[in-house]
Amino acid sequence: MNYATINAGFKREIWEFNKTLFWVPFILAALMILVPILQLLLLQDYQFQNISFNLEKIDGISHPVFFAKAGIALTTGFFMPFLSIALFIQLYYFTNCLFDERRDLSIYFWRSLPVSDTQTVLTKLATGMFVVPGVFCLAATAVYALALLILLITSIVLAVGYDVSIWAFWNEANLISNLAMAWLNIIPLVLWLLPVYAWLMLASAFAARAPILWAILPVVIVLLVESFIVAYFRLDNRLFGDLLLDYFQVSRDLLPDELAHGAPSRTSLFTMFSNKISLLGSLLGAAFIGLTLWLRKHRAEGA
Amino acid sequence: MSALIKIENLNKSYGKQPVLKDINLTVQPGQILGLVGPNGAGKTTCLQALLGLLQYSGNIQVMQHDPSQKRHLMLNDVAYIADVAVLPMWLKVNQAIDYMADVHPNFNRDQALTFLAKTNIGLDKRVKALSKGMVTQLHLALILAVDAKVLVLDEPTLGLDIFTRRQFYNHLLEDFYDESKCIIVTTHQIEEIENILTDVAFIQNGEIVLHESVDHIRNRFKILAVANQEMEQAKSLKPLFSNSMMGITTMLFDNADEQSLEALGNLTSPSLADVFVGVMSREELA
Repeated sequence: MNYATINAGFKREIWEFNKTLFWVPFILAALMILVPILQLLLLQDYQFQNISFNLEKIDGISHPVFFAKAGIALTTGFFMPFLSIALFIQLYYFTNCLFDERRDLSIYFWRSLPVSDTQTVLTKLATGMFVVPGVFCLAATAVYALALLILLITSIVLAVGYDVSIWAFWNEANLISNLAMAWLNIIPLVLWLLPVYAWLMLASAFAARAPILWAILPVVIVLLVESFIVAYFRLDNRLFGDLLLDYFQVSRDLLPDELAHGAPSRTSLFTMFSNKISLLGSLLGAAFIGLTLWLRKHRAEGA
Repeated sequence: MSALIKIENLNKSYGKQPVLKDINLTVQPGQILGLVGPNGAGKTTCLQALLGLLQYSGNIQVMQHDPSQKRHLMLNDVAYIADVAVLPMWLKVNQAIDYMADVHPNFNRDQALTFLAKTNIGLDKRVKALSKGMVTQLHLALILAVDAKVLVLDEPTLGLDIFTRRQFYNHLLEDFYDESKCIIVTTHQIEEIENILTDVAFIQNGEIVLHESVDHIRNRFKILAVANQEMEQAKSLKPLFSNSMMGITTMLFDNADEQSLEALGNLTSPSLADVFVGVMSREELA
C-alpha cells in the first residue's frame, strides 16, 4: 500500500460519484446565493425604509456579545443546510458504494488489480465519512466567504455613505475560529454516526438487490417483534427500541450548558456530538465494518 | 527453471457436489497452456481457485504466493481477465488508464495507449458509450499493458468478431509474451488458439483427463480417413472416436502403431479440436 494506491482509491470514488458530489453542493450553494439576491431585488419601498431604520439601531449596538452571537449564527446558518444535505448524500453513498460494483459486475475488474479488499472497504468508508461532508463544507465555505465579502462591502458602504459603523462585528465575530470549528464539527458527527454508516455498508455488501430495504427492514422487523413481545408480556420497557432512541436522541442533559440555555458558543455542536459518541456504538460500527470486509471477500465467490 | 504455477491436489465442492477433483498442474516459464473443457467441466472454477477468488482445498503456489493469502500482493505479478466487458459504465477511458498506472507497479501506460490507438476508442469516452466489443478491447488493452509473469485469461475473446479476435492473439504474442512468462487461457474456440499453445490440459467433470505438450499430442494421436472395406480392421485397433460424414469415416487413434494405420487409409495429425472431441467422447483415457 502506498500513497499513489490510496490516492487512486479516493479518485475512483470521486469519479464514480462525481455528479452527486459536484452538482448537489453546487446547486445548494447557487440557491443560497441567488435566493437572497432575488429577495433583495423584490423588496418594496417600505421594506427598504425598515432596513434603514434597523441599520440606525445597529449603529447603536456595540455590545461584543451581540456580534459574537451574530458570528456564530452566520457560520451555523451557512453550514447547517450543507451538512444536513451532506447527511442524505452520505446515506445514499454508503447504501450504494459496495452494491453498484456487484450489480454492474465491475467487481470482477476491481478485484483483478493489486488492491486489497481491506483497502477498498476502508477507502469507501473514509470517502463517505470525510470526503462527502468535506465537499459540502467546501461549498459552504465558498458561500460563507462570498457572504463575508458582501458584508465587507456593505460595511464600507455603510461607513462611508451612511455613517453607520458595524466594524465591531469584524473584531468580535471570531469568523476564522467559527469557520475552523464548523469544519471540526465533522469529526465527532461522523464518529457518532459511524454505526449507521457501517450498517449501510454492510447492507450494500450483502444485498442481492434493493440494499436500502436490507438496511431498513431488519431494524423495522426487530422493532415490531419487540413491540409485540413488550405488549404481550406487558413488560416495562423495550431494550432495542430504547437503545436506538437513546443513541440518536439529543436529550437536554447532553447539551452543553450554554446551548441548553439558548446561548450557544462556537464549541456547542462539537461538544454535543462528542457527548453522543459511545464505546458500544463504536464497537458495533467496527463489527459491521469487519462483516462488510468479510462479505467483500467472500459474498460473490468468484468475483 | 522453477515453475511459475504449481497446483497440487486441488479440490473444490459446492455442498456435496464436487466441482474439482484432485487437480494437479504445473506451468513453467514460456508455456502457453490452454485449459479446455466442455461447459460446466470446472475450467473457470479452477482458474478462480488459482487466482484466490474462492476457497479450496489443496495446495496452489503462484510465483511463491499462496493465492488464498494476501492475493493483492500476488496480483503485482499476475494479470487476469476473469470475465470480459465488466468495466464500470461510469468510467472514462483515460480514468481507467490513470487508475491502472496508480495501482499497478508493472503497468505500462504507453503500451496501453499504443494498443488503444489501433482501435476507435477515444480516450475521453465513457465505457457506457462504447460497444461491447470496444469495452472488451479496452479491458484487454489495460490488462495486456501489465508486465506480469503470469497471465490468466478466461474466455478472453467471447463476443468479439473474428478480426478483433485475431488482432488480440497477435497482440498477445507480439507485445506481451516472452520466454520468461506463462499464459493460461480457456476458450471454446480451440481452433483459433491451437497454433499459439505450447501445452494443453483437457478437463472433464472436474478432472484433468489429459495434460501434454501440443507437440507430444500431435505425435501421440493420429487421425485416419478409412475406406469402407478397411473399416472392420480399423475398428479392431480400438479408435478413441470415429465419425462418418459424406461417405468418409475418420477415426482418432491414441498411441497406435503408425505403420498398421497407414496401411488402412490416409493418416494425418489431428487438430486439437479433433483430439478434444475424441478424448471427451470416451469414458477414460488409457
